[in-house]
Amino acid sequence: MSDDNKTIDWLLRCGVALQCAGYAWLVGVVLETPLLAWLWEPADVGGLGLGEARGMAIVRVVGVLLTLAAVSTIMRPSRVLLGLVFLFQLLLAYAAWQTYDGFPLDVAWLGGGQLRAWGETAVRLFPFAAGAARIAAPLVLLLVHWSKIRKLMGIAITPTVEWLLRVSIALTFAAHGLEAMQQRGSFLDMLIVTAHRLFDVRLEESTAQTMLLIIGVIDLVVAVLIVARRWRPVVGYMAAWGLITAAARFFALGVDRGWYEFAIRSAHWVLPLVLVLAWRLVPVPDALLRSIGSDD
Amino acid sequence: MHRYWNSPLQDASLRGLMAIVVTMALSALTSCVSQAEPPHTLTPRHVRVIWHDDPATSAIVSWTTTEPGTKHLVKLRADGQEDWTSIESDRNEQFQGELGGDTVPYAHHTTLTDLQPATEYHVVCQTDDHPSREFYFITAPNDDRPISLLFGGDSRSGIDERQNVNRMMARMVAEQQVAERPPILALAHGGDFIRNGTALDQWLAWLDHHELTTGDDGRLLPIIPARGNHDMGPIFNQVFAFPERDENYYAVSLSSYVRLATLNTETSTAGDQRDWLADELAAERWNHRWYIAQYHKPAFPAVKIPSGALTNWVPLFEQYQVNMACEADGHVIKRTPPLKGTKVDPEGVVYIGEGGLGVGQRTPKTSRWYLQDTAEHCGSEHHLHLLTFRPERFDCRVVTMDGEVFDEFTLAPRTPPQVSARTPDAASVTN
Ligand SMILES: [Fe+2]
Repeated sequence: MSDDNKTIDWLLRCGVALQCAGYAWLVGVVLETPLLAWLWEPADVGGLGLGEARGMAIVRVVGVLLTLAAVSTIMRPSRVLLGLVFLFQLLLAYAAWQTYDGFPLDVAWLGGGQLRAWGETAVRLFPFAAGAARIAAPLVLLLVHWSKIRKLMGIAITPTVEWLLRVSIALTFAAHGLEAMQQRGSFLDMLIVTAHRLFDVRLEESTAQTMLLIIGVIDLVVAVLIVARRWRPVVGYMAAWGLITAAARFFALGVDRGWYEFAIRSAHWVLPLVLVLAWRLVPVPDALLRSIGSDD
Repeated sequence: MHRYWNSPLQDASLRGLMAIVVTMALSALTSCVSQAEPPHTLTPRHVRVIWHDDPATSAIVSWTTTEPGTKHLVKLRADGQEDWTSIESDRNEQFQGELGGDTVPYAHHTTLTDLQPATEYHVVCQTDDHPSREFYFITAPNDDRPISLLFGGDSRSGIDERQNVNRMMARMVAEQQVAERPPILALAHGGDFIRNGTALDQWLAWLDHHELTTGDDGRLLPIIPARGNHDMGPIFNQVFAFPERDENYYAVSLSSYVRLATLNTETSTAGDQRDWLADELAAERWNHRWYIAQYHKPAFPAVKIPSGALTNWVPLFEQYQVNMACEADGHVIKRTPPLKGTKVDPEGVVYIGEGGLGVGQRTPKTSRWYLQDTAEHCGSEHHLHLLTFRPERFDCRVVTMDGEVFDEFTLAPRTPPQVSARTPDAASVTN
């Protein structure tokens, strides 16, 4: 196996483990996630109506499972646990959808009528787009770690895995880009507070708004580019930006909250970094992959 | 616990008699209603008073009609006067949103200015030739008489409970008047009015239910709204007569010595809003004996994670010795001790909350450092806060839906800093 493919495997394992550890803390200790809200809130407001005590018991079990997944992903990856992590991430997005959690994108610019009605339905599904990279990360690790091709030929990233990476990263960047373009308050605060704490600069809100608009446009552009082109500088930028924005949580929220807010966003920089490494390797012709019985 | 109001219905024989009278009245009412014509599409409904500005001299009167109409006005007269003055509405617009093919109704707002403080004003809203019934509201005083304010949040779910709390508000307003206690001026609503802020049907249901806060005698309870995370979208500003893109942070003086800042946790807390708060506190804090703030997501939550308020507003609250911050979102009864610089400090700010106007209640996490000393004052019941201000004291009572007083405490006033350099601050909390 090539060094790069070993690195990709380990990068994914570390990233998913960090993501699991962050969510284990957030879900099982801090407790306050859309998942808990969905479990305990009554059905008329989108919940399952299980009550707070049962909801908390369930999320604590989820927290334990995520802790196990974090440890096992480093020590000895488990298909079952990684499958559960994937399902957990899907469920979290579903819960956010059901409980109206997250930034409400404005669709007024769609005008009125049916187009706007569709827009309003579509933006409610936003948690799936914003969380696409986190949902995909355990799945990518499942596909890479037990890949026959990787074991036989040292090829970690098959075409299916590559498209999974490209589309999920694109969705996450596009979703965050739209939020940035619509001046999400918490993003503005992160810019202003981080500038103040790191550089002792008092950033005017209008300056932060301009910066956020530029950031949003760049996010959208790279989201399109990662799907359209195999350009390593683009995924390199995405990896760097994903790391910077995840790490900004430390400065904006302090270490005690910042560490898990950083950890749960590991996929935002680990997945683009996987592509940086994968695209350094000579692409393997599809015909060759088919001839040796690819995982695809 | 003791009861907030002393109901004569506590006597069993009286209760029986009242039950017969109420049943007869209800059946008469039902037969009247069943024979009544449905209201005309231009008949004003959802009549309400909104306070954004100076409630001693101004108010916004708003209502809804199903059809657009052509001429909209408020007829106004001060109590004791016979002549009505007509004031045309200054904003009429169709609500944004869809109603599954049904006609989307229209919002009308009329700004009343040059009002007299502490004065009863009678109002009739009228669209074309269709008047509402006669209502009245009372402007805020501009002197140092005792006053009360209701604070509550989170009416987005628990529809029956929401209506019951609204009925209780109307009863409390009437009870204060009968018992000659300091009058309840308004309801400060800490946000999460409904579940989905872009759903017009939910707003219309909330507006229907808000009518229950109006007394049988037509007394309107003015509302001072804060935006919650569920109140997303443009309809909030239409319902509460804010300009289209308004960020919903503002301050009102409830008397010469009480001021309330309403903040918005759903937009940037660190940018212009923080600058505005700093300017507002510098200009107004020490012109008022009591200064309180309301907003949705807590700085010191009893269940959830701190909002941007903790980083961006709490240092200002502490610098200017704000007396109390009223928070929502958590769905519990909460009271902290006075907090300053991440510890309990008699010179600090008391944080109360966190939303009980209908939503299902949660269990407060009283192991958090800022709730350990007040754990017995935290709980899980539908509730609202009755805040009563006098020049020399500020009483806070938590009233549950069955009229019980769950918690009460008193704050003593602060001394402005230039004076406190010579005289130590006398702030304290007493139960
Ligand atoms: Fe909320």
